[in-house]
Amino acid sequence: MGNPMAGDHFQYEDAPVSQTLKDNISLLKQLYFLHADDLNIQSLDFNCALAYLKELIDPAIINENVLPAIARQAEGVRDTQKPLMLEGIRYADSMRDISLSILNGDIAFFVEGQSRCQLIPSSKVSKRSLNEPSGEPTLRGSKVGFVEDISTNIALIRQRLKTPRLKLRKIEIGTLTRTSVAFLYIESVADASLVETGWMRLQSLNAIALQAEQQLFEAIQKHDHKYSLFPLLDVTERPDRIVGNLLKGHIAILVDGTPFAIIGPVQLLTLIQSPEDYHFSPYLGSFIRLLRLLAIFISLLLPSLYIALTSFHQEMLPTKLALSIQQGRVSVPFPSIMEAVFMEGAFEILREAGLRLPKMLSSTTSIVGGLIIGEAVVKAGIISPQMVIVVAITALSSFIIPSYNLSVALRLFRFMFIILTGFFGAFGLMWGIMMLSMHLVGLRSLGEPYLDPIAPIRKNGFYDTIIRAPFSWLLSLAKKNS
Amino acid sequence: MQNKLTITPSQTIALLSLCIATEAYSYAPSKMADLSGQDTWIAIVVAIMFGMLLLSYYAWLAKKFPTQTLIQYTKTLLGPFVGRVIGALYVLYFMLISSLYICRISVGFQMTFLPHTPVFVLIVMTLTFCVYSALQGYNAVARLGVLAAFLLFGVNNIFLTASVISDINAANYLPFLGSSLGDIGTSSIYYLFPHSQFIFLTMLYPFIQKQRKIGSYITWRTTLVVFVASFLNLATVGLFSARQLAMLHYPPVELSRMVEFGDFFERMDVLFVTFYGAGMFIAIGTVFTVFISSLNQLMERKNGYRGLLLPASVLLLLLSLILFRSEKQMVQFIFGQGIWIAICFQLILPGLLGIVFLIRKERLCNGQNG
Repeated sequence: MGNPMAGDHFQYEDAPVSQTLKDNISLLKQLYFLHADDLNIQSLDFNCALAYLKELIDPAIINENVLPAIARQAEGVRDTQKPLMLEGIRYADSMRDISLSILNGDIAFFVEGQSRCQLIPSSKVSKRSLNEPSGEPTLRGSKVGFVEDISTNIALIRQRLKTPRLKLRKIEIGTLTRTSVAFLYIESVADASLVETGWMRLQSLNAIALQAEQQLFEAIQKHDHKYSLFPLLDVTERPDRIVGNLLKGHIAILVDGTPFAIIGPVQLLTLIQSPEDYHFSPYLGSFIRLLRLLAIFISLLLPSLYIALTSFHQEMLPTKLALSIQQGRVSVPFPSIMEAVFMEGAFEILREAGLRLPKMLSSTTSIVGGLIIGEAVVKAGIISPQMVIVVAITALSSFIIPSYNLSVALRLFRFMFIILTGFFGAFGLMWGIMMLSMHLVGLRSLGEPYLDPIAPIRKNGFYDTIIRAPFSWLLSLAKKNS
Repeated sequence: MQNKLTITPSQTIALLSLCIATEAYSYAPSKMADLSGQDTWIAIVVAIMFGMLLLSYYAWLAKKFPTQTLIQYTKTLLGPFVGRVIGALYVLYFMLISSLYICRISVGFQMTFLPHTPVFVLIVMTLTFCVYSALQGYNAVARLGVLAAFLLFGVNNIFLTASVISDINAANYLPFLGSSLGDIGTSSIYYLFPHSQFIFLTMLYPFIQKQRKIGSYITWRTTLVVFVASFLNLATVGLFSARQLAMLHYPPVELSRMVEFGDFFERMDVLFVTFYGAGMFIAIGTVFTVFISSLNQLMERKNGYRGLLLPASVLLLLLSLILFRSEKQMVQFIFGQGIWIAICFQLILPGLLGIVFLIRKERLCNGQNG
């Protein structure tokens, strides 16, 4: 298959439902399901037939509900023209719609002499049970994560937001996959222009296949910035996180077949939030958020700061610290930039290895990488112990950041900063910071400033971003805003 | 959604303050101390007061043409030919200022920290930042400017000034008016003209939201911020004697070196240099954006200035390499020809424009009504 996001080359031909049963069956077999051996046509005695894909439906529904209902209809009123007494039955008069419904797991019921077809819902979807999301574990709060089935995910949100103001617009994306996508927002909480922006971007998506939420993510994000490394939307598998964002006036997008939902708009500071911040006291919640903010700076700048201070501006260091660092570096043959690139590179390899290996082996990798190699390179005099400390603190800091996408972006920028500082010292570092700040300040997520509430400064915005203010404050602020 | 070009009055204040105050930290205090001795503080205060008047005047002039920049309304006031000539001169002036700002940070960093790096490389890097700022537009530069101004003036300067206040010797400010009024006046001119780009208000005005606030709001607040920003320079006068001050290269950096926290934090100048660098970069970004947009307006291009960025950058690079090859050359220019050029473009030409407006006021009003 080519590019799944390319335009629609697979338009289905359409035809009306004929009054002749034979013609309908033949059209279905020849035009829509040619060489589809799993299509089952079940002809019945009463001049009618059922058509369905046998792997997609629940056979019990046919045997226990559909066939008895047809029999009752035929025997009782002697009229198969009337609708079957079954729940959720629909009519269709286009063969194209009928074929699509069959693909969705419906049973098509054709009757001789009738120019409409009855569609009986009977899809059989294998679902996994609800588990704690592995990528976003929390100490406190809900332990339920999304699953691959969109209906279950919608139900998880509806259970937590019992208001008719929670609006849900559905759309099918992908001419081949026809993936169900749900667009959610709370009416009068979410800004109307934001909702329309999000919905229009979703509708404008023209794809052959939609298999992962990342396709939607990139397609929506490109309207704000095509090439930014920073995530301009967020992804989560936690229903409580989706609900929290909907309550803040954001929009959410669920995609069938993936447990990950998209949230927008996001700001840099909202990416350091975690649902459990609201399960702790405001003091602890605020402290943790400030800690994460500090972690962002450490993760991004610590190795380059170390390089700048040890290679270019030793006079800036306090005397005792400068002496201590110098002692550690006596036997090291490389400049700090080489040390940093080597250690950071080795750490990235270890991290990837840890992710791909089975869980039991990943801990072994950590021990081998972290302890054994770390100690060996220091003993061999290749790397200074200070650099090992710097890389370790940087790595730990990057793990604190809740958003994986943000964490990855920071990792890439860290390397850029290391190279800039390695060549130009503090000037390179400052230049890099200013370029990055200029980039960040120009970014928008669904049209909203990415650095809000810092740039532009919005006083009320700080209560639930850098700090986690008490609920009473947040409530009065929400009332004031509404 | 905010327009990429529009800025708020507060953001205007931040940009103006950064363009005015960051430059005044480097060479001005020593040069002024050499001339006006212990009365340098009076010269600083006088310069700020005069700057306020200048800003009020620019605001008054800009209000007459709320949708036009200086480059555009010179044509309305002086006719297409003369207006275009004056506009072109202003574009050249903005180019010169941009080059000066770019060289100041590039040459300054090269001399202080990177003696083995060719200054060409640092100029190219600074120009890259300028181009990126211009691409992002006034709005992005201004939003970052608010942050930089807050950190530099609001946190750093107040903190440093408060830290050294006990060490300030009041006797260093005395005797009052020990220098002649002429020296104090010249010293004020040193502080005001070569560094302070109040004229940028006339270029930013059409992009400001809520223009009714513009007059007194921006004038007062910008003056206040510049005054706060000048605390550091005022403190250097009290901290060092006039003779010492005249010999120092970067007096505010020397001041920040005097602040220590216990045995460990002995080099607080890192903090100052960091925030100062950030402020300088924003000021450079603003100056370059003003230059490129003025060039665009002079050429009356309808498609924006994106296409001008590369040729303008190359031109600036060449100019910077030719004009200011060393710090000595730069200082000589700033306090030599630079003062006259600045007086011409910030005082004489705007003054003439104001006079022409008053003379042609009725005709202009009739023209607008018609």
